[in-house]
Amino acid sequence: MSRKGATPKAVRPRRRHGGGRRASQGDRVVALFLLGALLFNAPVLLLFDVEAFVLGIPVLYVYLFLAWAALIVLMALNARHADAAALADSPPPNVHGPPPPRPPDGDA
Amino acid sequence: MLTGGFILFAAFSYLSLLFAIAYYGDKRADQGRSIIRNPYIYSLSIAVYCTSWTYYGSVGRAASAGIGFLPIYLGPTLTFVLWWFLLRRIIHISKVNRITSIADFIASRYGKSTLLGGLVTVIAVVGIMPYISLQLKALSTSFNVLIQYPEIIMPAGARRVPVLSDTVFYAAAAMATFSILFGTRHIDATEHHEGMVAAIAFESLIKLVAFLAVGLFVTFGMYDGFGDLFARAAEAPDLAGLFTLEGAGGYGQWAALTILAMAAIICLPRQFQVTVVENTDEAHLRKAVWLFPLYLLIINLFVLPIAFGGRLQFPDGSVDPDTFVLTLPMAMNREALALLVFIGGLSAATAMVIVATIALSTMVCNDLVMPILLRLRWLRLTERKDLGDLLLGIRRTAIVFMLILGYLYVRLIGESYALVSIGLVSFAAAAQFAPAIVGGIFWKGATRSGALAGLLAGFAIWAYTLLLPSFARSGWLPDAFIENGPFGIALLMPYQLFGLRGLDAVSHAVVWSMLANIGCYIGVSLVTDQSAIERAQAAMFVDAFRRGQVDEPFWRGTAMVRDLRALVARFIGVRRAEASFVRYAKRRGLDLARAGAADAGLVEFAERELAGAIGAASARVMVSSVVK
Repeated sequence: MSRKGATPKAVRPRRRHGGGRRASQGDRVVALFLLGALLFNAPVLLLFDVEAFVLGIPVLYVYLFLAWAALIVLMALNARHADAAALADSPPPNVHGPPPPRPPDGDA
Repeated sequence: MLTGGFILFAAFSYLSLLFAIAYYGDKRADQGRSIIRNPYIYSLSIAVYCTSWTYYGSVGRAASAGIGFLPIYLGPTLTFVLWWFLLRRIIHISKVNRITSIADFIASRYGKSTLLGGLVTVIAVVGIMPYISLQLKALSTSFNVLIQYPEIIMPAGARRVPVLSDTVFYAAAAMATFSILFGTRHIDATEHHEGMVAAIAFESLIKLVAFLAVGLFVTFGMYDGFGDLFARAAEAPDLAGLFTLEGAGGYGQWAALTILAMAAIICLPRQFQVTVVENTDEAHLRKAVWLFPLYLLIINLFVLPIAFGGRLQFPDGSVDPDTFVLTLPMAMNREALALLVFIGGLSAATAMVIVATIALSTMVCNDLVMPILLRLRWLRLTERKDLGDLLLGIRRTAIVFMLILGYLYVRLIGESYALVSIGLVSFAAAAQFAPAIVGGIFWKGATRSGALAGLLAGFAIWAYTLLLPSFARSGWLPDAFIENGPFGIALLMPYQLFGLRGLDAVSHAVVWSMLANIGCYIGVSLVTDQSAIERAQAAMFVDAFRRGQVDEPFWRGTAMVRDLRALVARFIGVRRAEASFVRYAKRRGLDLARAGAADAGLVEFAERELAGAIGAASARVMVSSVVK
């Protein structure tokens, strides 16, 4: 893959030029999860749990599919920011890592 | 046109096509020109989540519970939202450790424990049995319904026909053959099955196209769009109630199903297989995290229209709602569409059975049978030359065994349940793995004893509150077991354990089993100690992304390089073992030809190579046989 030769970069904290800290992928992921849990559960769901129609379709159905679609769009936008190098931000221990500093007989 | 012979011909042609795709996928993988190394194929392969349950069962559920089928798809979406914390970590850890299955993952985290790996395997096999039986039931029902064309006649219960004239039996036999051909052709038993992934990605496309075709046909062919369809449904007094959550089982069930599905998308052995084990590049996850939920959304768009269409078309209830997807085109005399639906259902069922049996047979082989065989000294397995054939033999036997179990479950139990209800029993079993997995990657203090206690407690409650009652409801245990509790003890009634009322059976089981599971997991972890290897593994799992960490080699003692090389060669073949040792030597700047004794790093490397073939726990036993 194209990222193969890239040097691993640290994930967080990522800093902008202004010096302020940008929300990390982790922060945004948690926020999105909370949003999803809120949208798909009781208190908010209650608002749409009525026998009414939008364009002839029951409100509850329209709401759930739209909220779901919106969440997916936000996920797609967010995942684009996760840069590929950060995905493999550490070399797998002991596989590509430096050889352990021990004598070849390995006796301990 | 739709005679039994023709339907069978179509089905076998389709399966041959799948096989050709798998063959091509494997061939390309051998040449190093993989066809599955892209995020789109990866996302489609994760869509093996959508089985006959989604394809036939969702409509059946929606016909009686409206939107109540949806949490099964919202849950995975929520889990995928958390990919950065969960999936990314699990995949990374699994790649580093050459994890081959979910049992391997849990066993590795808690000190490469053979006992834990075996327990996870047993829970998985027993827990997934209903899920496999669901596919067999759906497949044989769809065949028996389609063969009656143009009449619409519901097939008689399987229990009333002898085994040899039971289509479920033939479905099971065909599936077993197919899974064996698919998953266990290779002599080199490594963790990747590229051909299988290519085939199930293709199946995901077929089932999506077929389902959308029926959906469009019902919505725009039979009715004048969504508005018209729902307006007609609103006029029917018994259907209007399905427009709100009231008819969908209420908020409690809604939340319980969401949580179950959140766990299932990681904890089902087949999902772990495609998402984690078969992942070829961690970067693919970035696209899959939204592509897979998008697939779920699209395949669910027409569930409600088809369900309402079916209820309106067959108002007298003589047609099983689980067959609406098929019977609606049949009722409108659309032969070709009906055949397409059947093929789509076939693809949904085969994809699930193939991946599930391959994943489970790997677990049975690596985490249950091999550790036992390796311990039986009189078998002298640790001295045998070539064990590759033995591995494949065990896996094939396991596949046959699981389909027999699935078949027995349909025959004994399945008749009295709708598809979704059968599947939910399996989801509740798989969810028992969630605490050990999630706790395992975030909490260093979790111990092997804690994980064992949690799994045992959760599994016991699951069996008591969901599995045993299904035997009672099908007449294999006395009814009094459910009605009055065992020996008339009301507090132990399986659907109202300790007097907990007002929940449906699945939510009730989730509440109690999770309470017991998480409670024991945390409680026992707090009062027990970790061994040295547990501590090392816990640190490696929890700190998977911490940089600069060089884990201490665990092996103390010496091994000869040639012994290690011979050991690895017995499982993965001489040529591949040679190649991987040479690669390792190059990377470390070692001269293996001159080195007599292996250092700890090389011993660990050999163990990891073996783990890819036989799992962490067995690899440990094998390596310890050559370390002096």
